[in-house]
Amino acid sequence: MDEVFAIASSLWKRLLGVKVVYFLTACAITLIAITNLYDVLMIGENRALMVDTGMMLVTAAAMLTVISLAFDIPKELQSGVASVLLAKPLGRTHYLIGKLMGISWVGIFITGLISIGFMVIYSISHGAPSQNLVKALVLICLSVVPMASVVLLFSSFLNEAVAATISTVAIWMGYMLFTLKGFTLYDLSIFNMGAEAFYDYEISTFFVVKAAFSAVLTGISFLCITSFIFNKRDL
Amino acid sequence: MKYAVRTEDLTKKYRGSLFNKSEVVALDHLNIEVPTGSVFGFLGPNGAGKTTTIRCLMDLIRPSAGKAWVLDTPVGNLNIKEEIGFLPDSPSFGGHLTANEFLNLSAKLLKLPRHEIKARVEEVLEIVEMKDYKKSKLGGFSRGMTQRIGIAQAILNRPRLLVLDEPLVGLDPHGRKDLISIVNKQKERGSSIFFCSHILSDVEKICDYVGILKKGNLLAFGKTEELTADSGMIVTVDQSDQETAQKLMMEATESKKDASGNRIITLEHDAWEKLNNELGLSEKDTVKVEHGHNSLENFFFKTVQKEV
Repeated sequence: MDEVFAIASSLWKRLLGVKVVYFLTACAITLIAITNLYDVLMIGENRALMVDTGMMLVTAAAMLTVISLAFDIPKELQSGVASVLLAKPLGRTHYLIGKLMGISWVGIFITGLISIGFMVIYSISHGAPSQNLVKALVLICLSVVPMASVVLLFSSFLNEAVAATISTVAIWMGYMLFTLKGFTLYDLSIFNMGAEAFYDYEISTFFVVKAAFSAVLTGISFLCITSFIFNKRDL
Repeated sequence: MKYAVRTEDLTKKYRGSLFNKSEVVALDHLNIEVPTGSVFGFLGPNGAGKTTTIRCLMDLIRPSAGKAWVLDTPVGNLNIKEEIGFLPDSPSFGGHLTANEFLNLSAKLLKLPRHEIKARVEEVLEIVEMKDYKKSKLGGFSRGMTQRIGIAQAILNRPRLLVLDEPLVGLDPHGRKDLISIVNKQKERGSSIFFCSHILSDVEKICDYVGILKKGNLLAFGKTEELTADSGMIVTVDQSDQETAQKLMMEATESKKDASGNRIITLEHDAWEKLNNELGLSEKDTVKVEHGHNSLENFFFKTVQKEV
C-alpha cells in the first residue's frame, strides 16, 4: 500500500500547493458571510439564504476539486510522468487507487474547510447549527468519492478538455437521476440534502451511513471499470 | 544462457484514427537476445521503433503480437520491475516536486527499505552531481539537469537492468562523460544496460552489442567488434603506379589521396580477390594491402541505407 499512498500524497501535495485553492476557499467563506448582510432584502430570511448559499458553494467546491483530476491524469500521461511512475513496480490499478484516494483527500479537505467556515459563520449569526445541517454538509463531503471515481473513469482514456466536459455532464446527470432513486447505483442525489437542511427536516444517521456505503460502493464500481480500460490501453 | 532482454516476434501495430483506418507497423516481428551483463546499443533513425520497443519492454504499451522477457521474466511482472531502472526519452517528472521529494517518491515506488531511502537518495544525487539542487523544484530545471535527475531515479534501486532511452540528449560534454562513467560503473557491478542513442561514437565506446532498427525491422544485430571488424580491404597504391591505381578505382567503394599523393582505395573482398588474380597485386612493390576496420558510424549508415 506504500506506493498507493505515495501517489495519493503526491497529488495532495500538488493540488494543495496551488495558492489559488486557498484564495477560492477564502472567497467561498466570504460569500457565505456576505449573505448575512441581506437581512433587509430577505425580510429576515437571511438564514435561509446563508444555508442555500453555503450548501451550493460546498457542492461547487467538491465538484471543482474532483474535476481537477480530469486535467491531472491526461497531463501526466501526455508529459510522460505516468510512464516514469508506471515503469516502476507500481500496478496500473494501484496508480488509479492512489489518484482516487489523493483527490478524495483533497476534496474532503477543501469541502471540510469551507463547511467549517460556514458553520462558524452560521454559529456567530444564527446560533449553533442544527444536526441536520451538519449531516447535510457531511453528505456533500462524502459525495467527493463517487464524483471523483466518475472523473477518474473519463480521464483515464480521454484528453483533458473532453474528460472535464463529459465528467461535468456525468456528475450533473448523477444529481438528476433522483427519479430512479433506490434503483440505480449511480445516484448522487442522495448526497444533496439541501432541502432537508434548509427546512431542518430530519436526516437520520442511518441514511448518512447508507450514503457513505453507497459512496464507497460507487467509487469501487467505477474504479473497477476504469482499471479494466486503463490496463488495456497504451501509455 | 541468461538474457537481460529477449523478444520473440515482437510486433506493434498502431491503428489510425476513427476516420483513418490505416495501420502503422512500428515493430515487425522483432527478435533480439541481449545476454545478461552486457551493454546493448539500440540504434536506428527517427521513427525506427526503438522507443516503441523500450515501451513494450517496460510494459507501458501492449504488443500486438509476440512476446518479450526482461531478466528472463515475462514483461509486466511487477516484482521484476524492482530490479529495473528506466530513463524515458525526454523525461518529465512533475514540476511541483523538489529533486529530493521526487527521488523519495521514486524510492518508495521502488520499494526500497525505509531506513535506506534517505542515504541512497543522497548517494545518487552525489553521483549525478545534483546535491546542491536537491531542494530546488524540478519545474525550474534545465533539460540537462532534468536528465541528470532522470539518471538518478533510474539507478536508485541498483538495478540489474538499466534501460536508457536517449540518455545523452540534453547533456553537455561533461554530462555525457559522466553518464558514460555511470554506465561503465553499472556494468562493472554486473548490471545489463539497454541503451538507445543517436550518438554513435559513444555507443561504439560503451556497447558490447549493437542492434540496428529501421521501420520496425531489425537490420543488424551482433557484437560491436564483429559488426565493425571488417569493411573490406584497404589498398595503398604508390603515387608512381597510376595505372594500377586507375584500375582499382574502377571497383573501389572509397578512394582518397594521402599527404604524399599515394592513393588509398577501399575494395570489397570479392573485388579485391578478382583484381588480385588479374593483376597479381600482392606481389607488386607499389601496392600495400591491409584489412579495413569499420567505424560504427560507417556501418550504421551502410546498414540503414539498405532497403527494408
